[in-house]
Amino acid sequence: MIPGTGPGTGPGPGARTGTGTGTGTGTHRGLLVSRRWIQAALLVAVFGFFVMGLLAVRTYTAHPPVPRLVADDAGRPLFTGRDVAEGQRVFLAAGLMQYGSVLGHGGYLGPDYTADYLRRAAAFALRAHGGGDGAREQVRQEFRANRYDPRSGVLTYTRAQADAFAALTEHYRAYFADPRTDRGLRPRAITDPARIHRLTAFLSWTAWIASAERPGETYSYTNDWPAEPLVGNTPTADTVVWSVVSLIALLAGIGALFGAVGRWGGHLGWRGRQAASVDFRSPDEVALTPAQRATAYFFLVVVLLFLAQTLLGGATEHYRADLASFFGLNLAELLPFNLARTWHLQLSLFWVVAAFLGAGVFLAPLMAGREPRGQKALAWTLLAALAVVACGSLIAEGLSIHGLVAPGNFWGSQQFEWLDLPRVWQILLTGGMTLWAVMMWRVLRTTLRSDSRGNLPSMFFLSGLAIPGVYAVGLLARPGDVFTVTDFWRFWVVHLWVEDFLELFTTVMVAYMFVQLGVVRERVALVVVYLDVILYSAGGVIGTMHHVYFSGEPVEHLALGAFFSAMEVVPLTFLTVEAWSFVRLGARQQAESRTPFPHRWAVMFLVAVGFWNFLGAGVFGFLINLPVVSYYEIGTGLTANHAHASMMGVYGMLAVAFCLFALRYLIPSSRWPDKWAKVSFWSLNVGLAWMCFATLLPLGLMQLYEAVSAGYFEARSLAYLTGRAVTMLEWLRLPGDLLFIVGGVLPLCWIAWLGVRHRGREAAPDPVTGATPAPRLSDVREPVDAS
Amino acid sequence: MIGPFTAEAVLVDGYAAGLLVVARALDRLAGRVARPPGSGEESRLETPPWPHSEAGRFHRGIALALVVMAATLVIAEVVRRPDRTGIALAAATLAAAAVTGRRLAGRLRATPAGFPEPECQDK
Repeated sequence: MIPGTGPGTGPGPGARTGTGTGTGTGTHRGLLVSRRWIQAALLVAVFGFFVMGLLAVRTYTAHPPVPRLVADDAGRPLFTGRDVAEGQRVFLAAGLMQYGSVLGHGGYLGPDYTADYLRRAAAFALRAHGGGDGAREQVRQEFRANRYDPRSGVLTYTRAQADAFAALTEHYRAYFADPRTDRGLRPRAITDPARIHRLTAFLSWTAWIASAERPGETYSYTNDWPAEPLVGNTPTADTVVWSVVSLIALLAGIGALFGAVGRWGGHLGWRGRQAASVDFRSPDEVALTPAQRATAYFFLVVVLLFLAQTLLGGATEHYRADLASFFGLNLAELLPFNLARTWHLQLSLFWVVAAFLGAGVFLAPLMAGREPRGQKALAWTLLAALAVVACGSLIAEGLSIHGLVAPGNFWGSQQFEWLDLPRVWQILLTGGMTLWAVMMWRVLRTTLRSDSRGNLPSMFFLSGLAIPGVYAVGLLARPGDVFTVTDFWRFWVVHLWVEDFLELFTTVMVAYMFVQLGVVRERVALVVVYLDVILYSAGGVIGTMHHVYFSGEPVEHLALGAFFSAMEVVPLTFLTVEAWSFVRLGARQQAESRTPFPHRWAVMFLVAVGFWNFLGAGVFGFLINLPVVSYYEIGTGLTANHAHASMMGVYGMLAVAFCLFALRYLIPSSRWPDKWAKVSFWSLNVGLAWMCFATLLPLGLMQLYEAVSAGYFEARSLAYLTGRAVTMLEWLRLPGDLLFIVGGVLPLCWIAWLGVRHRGREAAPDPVTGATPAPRLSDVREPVDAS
Repeated sequence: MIGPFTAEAVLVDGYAAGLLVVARALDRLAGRVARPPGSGEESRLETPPWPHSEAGRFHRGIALALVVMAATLVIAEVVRRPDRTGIALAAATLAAAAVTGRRLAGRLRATPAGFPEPECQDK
């Protein structure tokens, strides 16, 4: 025991120092880094969001029109703009965006309904015109001609297009009224004729914007996506040229990065304490605050949600291997593919975000040196709120997909992919995350007042505040609005919130963890955080537009999205280069510490994060980033490959790292199941690698080849996806998935259960203020002559 | 057909070969291994400090998993389409996988995690 530093005490003076940040003593601490870091970060972020603001204006002013009326060439009404909006709600409420896709966005088992309608309508028109080369040219001209009159708001279909609409209404009526389940949909998914009419109207509109030329241009509203030879859709010049520019931006960015590392590498990145030595406190010596102890329940809920998510993932994957039955059971009656996939995606967000919020509750007192009274009650309130939102939204999604809730219902249906939860739950989730931000402010307010706004405590608080703030932007995506507009806002959540702001928050958390452990100085961690803000903002903010190349936005979204998203690989490469510095952080201190380093597996999970960040986000992400590649592969296996490798590989592994970090102090050393943490580590990583390399990547490459050679419509068809070669690859996933679930997730459940059973040592609160002093995790021994 | 082989067999075996190349690259990234003294090889190399050592072990573990995947894919393809030329191609790929796997397994065993004495016994 180091004299004067008993458990439960805050940072103390003298040569032996604690590792808390800020002062909390009334004196103000100045900025630890040069102001230029703040200026650069602000400049890059402001520029990025200024451009995004311009792109938002362009989205609203240049989106494809929704006609007031669509009529045939004799003036007979076919459908109205209101039918299109209602049809979108029908599409979403039935969970069809989690079954198939529209404009390339959605699930991957069903067809892309834009491509499906376009192919069927064009083929119908070709037959109506008698086939042959002349008919082909006539069909191409008919579909590419834009017969929308903006003054009257009327879109006129040709006779062939109008007849095709009638024929396809009947086609979709039979398709969705099918009493069988051999497509993975629930039986008789949609039977109401009015809803079928509106649904077909919506799909017809998406097919129209995919083929009709944008006024003044020679390409369609969707940049001639999807590839469809019958209507003359091929990659545009912009699609090819901006792909080349994107590649050049990537090479230039990587070159600049290596140049900067070579020139200034000694001042950037992770550098361990050079002169001091660190003694890690044994977890048994660390007395926890009431809210820290309450996080044990957070992490139990987290791993149970994780378990549910993986089981649903298994069910979802089984549909792709065997549509007809789940080992003899007809799962589609109760749990059709789109419902399993909806819950699988929603749970992935819930457990990861809950882990981050729980880790924030655990870390905040360490930053502030104290925890105010009442924080435990708020932690319980937050956990209950998250549980209610998770359960309530999942139930509502089930009711919606089973047709028990009307489309567009505020309480019961929304169903955008990734933003599936109904709006009431979306608002409540935003509220829950805001409550969490208030909890962080309660703990940190004294520290924030006494510290510079550019230091770590403020970076933590501001990045945490961005979590509910940016998530709330998703409320601007409303079912029934123009799909192009809803997709623009939806990707603020799917990309900006997930890939940028959560990335920033977790970087700050990891930085804080290592500052608390004493292996890195706060100033060094702060430089890493600012570098992260600059590098990720440079590419990631405007790069959000790489999701909407073909969603009906004007071409500048494609151009800017392609250029800036290429540079997203730069910070990933930097982090990979720096990873070797990162893993050396603990080495010297470990060698000199009088107590063992207590976070072996939390650190190893962070090592895994670095691996998957480069592979899953960088390599697999850039594989599909170029517009010309995305043109053929959007909505296919390569997207799923990138999504799994990055979402689980980066955020999932991070979430587990945070859980293990906190659980290490919640479970007595004598009970710490090191073997099971090891089993979980290896099983999750090998299982994920198996998922990607044994199935998703080869399947994605095959499907891309099929899309280019045979056609996008063909590559997305059930006939292709149930072919023998594809089915073999889907079954090959079984060993990896079993390893992932049984070896990876179940041990985590056991570890989290131990955390609940023991909940660590309790620190005594101050009898006067009711506040609880936060523990120290290590003691730094500075040499006597250190300056 | 690509020469005497079906396109599918060439693609599967080619992909498997690609996995073997990636596995070798990960093995290189994992760094050196420790050798016992008197092994007839170069003088004993020190184990890198932890967590560098265990990060190397992680990369080797993933590399070995890739080799197993490569072999599994090739075997699955042969079971699906057991034609003579395909079997011959698969045999060559499996031989390469076996050699790579054996080497990687040995290097994995020779790569200690290097974690200093843990606080508690493994359970």
